[in-house]
Amino acid sequence: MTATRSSARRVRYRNLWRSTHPTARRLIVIGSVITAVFLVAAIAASLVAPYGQADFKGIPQLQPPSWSHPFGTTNLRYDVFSRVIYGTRLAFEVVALSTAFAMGIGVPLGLLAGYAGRWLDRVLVLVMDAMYAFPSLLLAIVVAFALRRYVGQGVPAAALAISVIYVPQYFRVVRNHTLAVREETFVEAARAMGATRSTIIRKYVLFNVVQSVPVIFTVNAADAILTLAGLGFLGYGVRIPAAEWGYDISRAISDAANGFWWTSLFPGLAILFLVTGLTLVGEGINDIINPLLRRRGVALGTVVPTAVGIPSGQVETSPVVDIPIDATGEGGTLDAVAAVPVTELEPVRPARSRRPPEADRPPGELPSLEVRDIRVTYGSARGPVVAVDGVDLTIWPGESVGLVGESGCGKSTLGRAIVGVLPEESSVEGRVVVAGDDLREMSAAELRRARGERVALVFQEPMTRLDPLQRVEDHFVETIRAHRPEVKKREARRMARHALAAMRIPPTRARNYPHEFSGGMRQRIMIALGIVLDPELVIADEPTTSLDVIVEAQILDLLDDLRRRLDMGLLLITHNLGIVAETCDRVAVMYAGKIVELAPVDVLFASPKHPYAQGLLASVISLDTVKLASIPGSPPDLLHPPVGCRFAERCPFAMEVCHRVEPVRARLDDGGDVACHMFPGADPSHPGQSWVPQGRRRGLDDAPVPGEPVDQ
Amino acid sequence: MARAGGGSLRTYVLVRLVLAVPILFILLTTTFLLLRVAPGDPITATLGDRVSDVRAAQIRKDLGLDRPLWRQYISYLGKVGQGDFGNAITTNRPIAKTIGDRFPATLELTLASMVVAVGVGVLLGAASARFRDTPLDVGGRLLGIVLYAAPIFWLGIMLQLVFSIKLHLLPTGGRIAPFSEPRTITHLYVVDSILTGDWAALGSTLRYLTLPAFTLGIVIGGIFIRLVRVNMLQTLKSDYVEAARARGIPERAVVFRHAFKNALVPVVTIIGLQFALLLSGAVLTEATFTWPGLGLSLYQFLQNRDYTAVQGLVTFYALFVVAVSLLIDIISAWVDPRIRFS
Ligand SMILES: Nc1ncnc2c1ncn2[C@@H]1O[C@H](COP(=O)(O)OP(=O)(O)OP(=O)(O)O)[C@@H](O)[C@H]1O
Ligand code: SF4
Ligand SMILES: [Mg+2]
Repeated sequence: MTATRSSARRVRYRNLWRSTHPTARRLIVIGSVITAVFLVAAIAASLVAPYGQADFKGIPQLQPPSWSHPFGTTNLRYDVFSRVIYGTRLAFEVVALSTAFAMGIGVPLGLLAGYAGRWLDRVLVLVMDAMYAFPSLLLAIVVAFALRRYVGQGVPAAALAISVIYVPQYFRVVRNHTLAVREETFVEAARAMGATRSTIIRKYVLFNVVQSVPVIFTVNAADAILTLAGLGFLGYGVRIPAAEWGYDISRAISDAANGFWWTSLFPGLAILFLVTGLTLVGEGINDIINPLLRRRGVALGTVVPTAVGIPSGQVETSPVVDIPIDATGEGGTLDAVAAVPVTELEPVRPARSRRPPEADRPPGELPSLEVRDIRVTYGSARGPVVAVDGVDLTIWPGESVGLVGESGCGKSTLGRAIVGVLPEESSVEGRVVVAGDDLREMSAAELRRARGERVALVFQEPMTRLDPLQRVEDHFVETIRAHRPEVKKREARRMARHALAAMRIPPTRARNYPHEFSGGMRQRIMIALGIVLDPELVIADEPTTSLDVIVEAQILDLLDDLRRRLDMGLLLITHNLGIVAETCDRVAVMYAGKIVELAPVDVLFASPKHPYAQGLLASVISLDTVKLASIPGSPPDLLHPPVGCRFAERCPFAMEVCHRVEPVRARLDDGGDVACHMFPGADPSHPGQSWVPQGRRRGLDDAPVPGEPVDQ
Repeated sequence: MARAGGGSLRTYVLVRLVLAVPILFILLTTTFLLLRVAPGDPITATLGDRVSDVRAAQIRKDLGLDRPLWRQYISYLGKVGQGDFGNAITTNRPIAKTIGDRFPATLELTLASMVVAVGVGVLLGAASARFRDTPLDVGGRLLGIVLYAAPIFWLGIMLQLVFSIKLHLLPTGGRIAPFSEPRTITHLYVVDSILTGDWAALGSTLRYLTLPAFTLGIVIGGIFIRLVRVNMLQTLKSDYVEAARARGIPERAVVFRHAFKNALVPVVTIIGLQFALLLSGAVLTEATFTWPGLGLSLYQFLQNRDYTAVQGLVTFYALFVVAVSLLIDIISAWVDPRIRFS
């Protein structure tokens, strides 16, 4: 059993190693090699070194490097090379011993503090903090100096002096783990099952401590060697004539003044290389282990707060009174919006009148957005993931299209691809045309200018999207002037106030910092930032998911009014079908990287065609968040998408043809598009054909139901 | 929870001051225990056989070392409160006077080094992060590690070898050429020579200051490279940077105005954390360059095994460290209003 566990661990480490960045890997390897070379030299010192560390018989004084003395000789007739080798041995001895001392003192104290808690914990923490705050070399010197009467100046004395610096680190790790374990429920459970306190400590705390020892050890080994050298340099290292690098360098100062460079150069280089090697290893381990620890932390069920609380003293306001009415009536469209009092905005939206489908658009009008056959591929560690696969979508000016679908189906990816803000390790194919201009054919500079000016992206999480060091107003000024350098600062500020007012943020607060606003207000600020340049298209990626229901309704109403008044296209990504029903003109249903159904809202809600859309609607209990779990099964792995219909595995009507031919989206009479073999046009090679499933609905693991082709 | 406003900074300062008291108390007690109690009798430990028993007893009485320990402890704390750090046994001078003479030199050196460290660290760290995983980044990271790995005193000697002994460009030690000291105002020669318009003194000061400040500065700068790089990698990945890009802010502005500025906020705190390291480093640097600061005094007293002098100096270091960390915390809270809330 232990064999399988250790082999599992080996596999995990190997995967970890592979997923580490090549540069980081190279640095770790270099560090390990350097450290290993020194370690071998230290162990085999008497074999490697041509002379003993204090040999001087027959050695000439102050000779520069030569064949017989590769690093030269000192004025005490020592062979520098041999001194460096023995210095290595001494350094390792001191490091090992000081680590042992540090653990011997720090671990029991940490256990004591963590387990006893209360005042003892406070006092110990305070003492350790004080020790940690004090300059480490000074602390080591003081200890060495104070204790010289008792322990002389041997290796143990130096190790003890150095260990004092590292005691706080072991203390902290052990204390924190003990505290954590004490509060974990599984300890309560273990206790209830009769495990004694000491068993619990041994099992959990020490296990965790042992895991963190390599990192503390390597990082500290580097510091320990530097401190030892510092002590030696100041005359408080080990007793001469033992070879110690720092001491040897201090002896070499007068040589250097006379131009004898070799007596100081080589011991110093030894320190430099060994400390570099140890640091590389330590940092590497740290880099690898840290993400691992973080991942494990999440797996343990760390709760990510969803609803953003309103800090005390900050209340969501609808500041009707604060909006300056632009009496002169000059200025752009936004001004006009901002000038309208809230009360007058309400009735503007006709209850359920929907914009006509594209056939009824005025001739010559260009769509706000036209996406053609767009495909986004992420390069992940496991291979390329096609997160958006051949999507077509058109949005007209003033039209709002909702984009819904299960988590991970590619909604955000599509939104980001349109704006061109995907992570580096991704690639995009296809066309993204905004009011006649293809963004994908633009140069990087042109695309940059189009972002913000012509398309705006509003992100899900408003709390962290504003620069904490910048006033709200300055975000606007920066954005406006990045696109229209000719606009004066004053004018930009005026535009900012109007955009804010349009989102019901009192212009008096324009000079506040982001942290002074609640989540809902920040999201309205983000939207105001998006619309300030009057873009043709706004993409809002779950703009209200992290906000509470009342705030959500306010924001969606505002957004809805704005897109009508400013005649912008709106792509609203959401999980909430209720929102879509209430505010959108059309809905796109996405599944596993594809849009499977796209229809006017009334049509889709009255008669969903695609079985996945039906499932989605069926799972809406109220206007509440969709419970998608009610569609059995889970979406396919996008790393290896299935042949044919991607929903086939979960579809109650899946037929043989569904596993063979991929259905494409085709227009139906009621104005909706659907990609399903049960409707005509799904198979391009048989345009008039549709399939009728026979027999009963299938369950998740059943074979495909029989199907019958019907030609029209 | 406190509301943002004028009063909260004052509250924060007060709370922070109260929290500093126990730390200070612990440091002073530890110093007393380690340097006064552990070595046994400091007179014997320091002077050994160099004085007669009668003379030793006399000194002991003069310094109050014949009283019970607890009384010595109380009087130690009381004297520290009045700025009295005791006398050196070997020179019989008040340590407070040594500090007054030597501390400005240390301050000048550490401040100059901090300028070098921040300059090197911020520039290279930010560049490394901006050009992540390019050769520039690898070079910057390696430099950060190698600089930190260099023993300060050795680096000093190497620089002396090149710039003083081979090239004859800069002096190997001291603080200013003999008899060219500027008229003292602040005791910081750079400041004083500028204030008095003494350009010869300024030139001389800078020539003497360059090597030690550079030595100490780039070693500490190695740490800054690494820290600034990590910070900036984080801010470059942050949500507000992504949002700025999505608004079409030019990349230069995104990097400088958003990522870089935010990466610098923690640097204030880091400067505070590195200050302890800077003080240790200053002792080694001063010993290497015979820079007449507090560190050189400490080095000399250590060589002479003067226990009371070392105790006095270490006490002063403790006070200084606590004061600096207090100051840094207050500055951070002032710069970044978010800190005051927690
Ligand atoms: N940076 C990335 N690298 C690799 N794969 C990614 C990356 N970002 C997203 N993906 C993958 O792409 C797919 C689509 O992700 P996306 O975030 O677009 O989904 P979504 O529909 O927005 O989901 P949600 O509703 O949870 O926001 C997912 O399978 C996800 O694992
Ligand atoms: S194509 Fe077939 S499997 Fe896919 S949704 Fe339609 S019926 Fe179901
Ligand atoms: Mg998403």
